[in-house]
Amino acid sequence: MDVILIYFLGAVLISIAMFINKNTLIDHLLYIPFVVLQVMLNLNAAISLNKYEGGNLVPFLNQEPFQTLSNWLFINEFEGYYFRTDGIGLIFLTVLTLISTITIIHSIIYSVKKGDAIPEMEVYNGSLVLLIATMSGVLISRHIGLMWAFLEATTLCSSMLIYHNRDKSALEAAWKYIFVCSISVSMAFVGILLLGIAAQDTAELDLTVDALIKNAPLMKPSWLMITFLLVLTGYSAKMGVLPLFTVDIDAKDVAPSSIGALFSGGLMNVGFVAIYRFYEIFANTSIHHWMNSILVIVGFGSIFFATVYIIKVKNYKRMFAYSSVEHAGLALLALASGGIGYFAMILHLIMHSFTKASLFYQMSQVYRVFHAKSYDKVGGYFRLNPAGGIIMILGLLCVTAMPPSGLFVSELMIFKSLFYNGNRLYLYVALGTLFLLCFIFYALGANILKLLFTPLSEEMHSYEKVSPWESATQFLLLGLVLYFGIHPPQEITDFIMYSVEKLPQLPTK
Amino acid sequence: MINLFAVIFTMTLIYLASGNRLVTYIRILALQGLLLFGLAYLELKHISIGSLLFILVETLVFKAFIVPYFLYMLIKRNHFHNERDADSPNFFSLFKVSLIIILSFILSYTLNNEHLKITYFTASVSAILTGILLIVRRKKIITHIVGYMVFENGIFLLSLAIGGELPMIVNIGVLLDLITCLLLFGVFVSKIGEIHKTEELDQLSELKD
Repeated sequence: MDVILIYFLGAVLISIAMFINKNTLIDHLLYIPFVVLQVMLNLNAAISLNKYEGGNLVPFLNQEPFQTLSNWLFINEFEGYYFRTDGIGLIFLTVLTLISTITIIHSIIYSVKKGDAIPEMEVYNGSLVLLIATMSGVLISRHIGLMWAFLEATTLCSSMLIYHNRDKSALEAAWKYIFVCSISVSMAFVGILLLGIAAQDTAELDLTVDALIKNAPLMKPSWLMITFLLVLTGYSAKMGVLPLFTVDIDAKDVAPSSIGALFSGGLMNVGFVAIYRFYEIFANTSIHHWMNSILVIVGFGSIFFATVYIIKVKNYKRMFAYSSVEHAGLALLALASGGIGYFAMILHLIMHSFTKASLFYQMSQVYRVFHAKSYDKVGGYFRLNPAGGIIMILGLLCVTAMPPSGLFVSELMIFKSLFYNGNRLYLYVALGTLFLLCFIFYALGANILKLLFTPLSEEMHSYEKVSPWESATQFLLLGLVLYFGIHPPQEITDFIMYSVEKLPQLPTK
Repeated sequence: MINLFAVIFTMTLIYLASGNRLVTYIRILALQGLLLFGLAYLELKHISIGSLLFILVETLVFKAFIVPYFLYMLIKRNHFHNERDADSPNFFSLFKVSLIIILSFILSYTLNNEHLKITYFTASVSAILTGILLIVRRKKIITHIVGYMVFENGIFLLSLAIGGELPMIVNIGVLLDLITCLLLFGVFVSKIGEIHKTEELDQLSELKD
C-alpha cells in the first residue's frame, strides 16, 4: 500500500470536501479521517526507518501489531527516492502529529464557542488540513527541490489562516506574510539552483539529500557558501530568526491562537529542518567552520532583537512570538557549537514546541475572558480561570527554562557546549546570551504575573467562564516538558543521539 | 538565436526600469514569457517529450498569457493608477538597472564555471536583482507583484543556466505554488483595495511594535 500517496491524496480530498461543505458538524467529522491519516503516515515513517536501520532502532516496532503493519506497508522505489524519513524528520513529524491533533481539538472548540460569529470557517478547516499535510511533506522529503515546493505551499495555506478574521490587521498580516515569505522562499530556490550548478562539477545532478551529502566535499566551496546564505535568509521567515522574522511575528499575533500554537510548535521546526538539511549536506565540507560562524551571528542577533522587542511590546501574543525568536536563536547557537549542542538543539526544539503551543492555546482562553490581548486590558486571570492560571504559571517556568522544566536541561547543555567549545568567540556569545536572557526572564515574568494576579482597575461584571477541561491538553504538554526535565526516557535520548550521529561530533575549534 | 533571445530579455529589463505605466509593465511581462518560451524550446529540445511539453506550456500559456491577463484584469477591476511617483527620476532607474546588468556580467565572468552558460546567467541574475529593485523601491502594490514575476522569470532562466532539468514532480510542485500564489495575491490585492481604499503599500502600517 502506498501510504504516502494515500496520505497526500486523502489530505487534498478532505480539504476540498471541507472547502465545499458548509455544515460545521461534517467539517468536524472530516477531521477524524485526517488525524487517522496523519497517525498512519507517522507510523509508516517510524516503521520504514526502523526497517532501513535493520530493525534495531526502535525495538518495540518489531513486535505485534507493528510487525503485521510493517508487512502491510511498503515504500516503492519512487517514494523511496523522493520521500524517506531520517531521525530528525521522524522526531519532528511525531511532534507535528501531536501538536496538530491538539490544534484540531482547539479549533473545534473555537468553532463551537464562536458559532455563527466566525466568517468562512470552512476555509479555515480546509487550509488547516492542507497546512499540516504540507508541513509533513517538508519533513519527509529527501529531494531538496520537492522540499522547497512543500515549504512554499505552507506559505500559501498559512496566509489563508492568518486572514481568517477578515479585518484590517488580518489582511495586512496575511499580505505581508505571503509576499515576504514568497520572495524569501524564492531566494532559497535560487540557492538550490546554484547548488545544482555546483553539483555538476561532480558529474551528477542529483538533488536528493543523500547524494548531496556524498558529493558536497567535491563541490567548489564558494558555491556552497552562496547557497547556504541564500537558503538561511530564505528559510529564516519560516523558522522565525534573523533577518526575516518580522512577518512571522505579525502572523502569530493576528491568526487565531490555535494557529499561533501550530506556527510556534510546528512551522518553526519545519523551517529549522529545512535549514538543517543544508547544514547536514555541507557539514563535512571545508565551509563547516564558516557555516557555524554565520549561525552564531544569526542566532545571537535573533536573541538580541527578541530581547529588545520582548521588553517593548504591549501584547501577550507578540511577546510569546518574540520568545519563539529567542528559542529559535538558541537552537541555532546549539547547532553551531557542536558536540553535546546537537543533542541539546533537538531537545530544546521539542520542549519549546510543547511549551509555546500550550501558552498559545491558553491565550485563546485569555482572549475569551477579557476580549483583549494587550497588557493594560487584562488582570486577575488566576481568580477568573484557576486552571488556566496554573497553566500560565507552569508555562512561565518552562518558557524561562526554570528547573525542573525540560528547557532548563536543554539550555544548560547549550551553554555547556558553548563554554567548552574552546573557541573564545563562543564564550563571549554565551556570556552575552546569558545577559540578554536575564532581561527576557524579567519581562516574561513581570507580564505574566501581571496577567495572573494584578486586579483589573475596573471590576469585570460579566465574563465567560472557561471549563477546566479545556486546559487538559496544555497540562498534558507541559507535563511532558516537566517529565523530560526530571526523568528523560532513555529510549528517547538514545533516539535523539542517533538522529544527530552523522554530524561532525567534535566541537568547532 | 539563443543569445539573441537572452539579450532581448535583458533589454526588456531596461525598458521596465524606464516605464511608469502599469500596462507597459504587463506588456513587458508577456514579452518576457514569449522569450522564455523560445529559450526553453531551443535549450531543452533534447529532453523527454513530456517534460519539454510541460515547460513549453508553462512558459507560453502561464507566463506569456495567463499572468499578464490576470494582472491586467486586476488593474482594471481595482481602477489602479499608473506609477507616477516612482522613487527617483527615470534616469536613475535606468542607471541602476544598467549597473545591475554590468555587475551581473562581471560576476558571470568571475565565477568562470565550465557548466555555467554566461548569457543565461547574466540575464537571470539581472532579472532577479531588477525584480528585487522594483519591490524595494516602488510603492504601488501592483508594481510589487510585477517585480515578483520578473524575479520568478529570472529564477526560470537560472534553471536553464544549469543546463540539466529538475524532475517533473518538482516542476509541477513549483508551478502549482506559483499559480496559487498569484491567485492569492489577486485576492489580497482586491481586498486591500476594498478595505484600505489604497493601492499604496505605505498605508499598511497598522501592525508594529
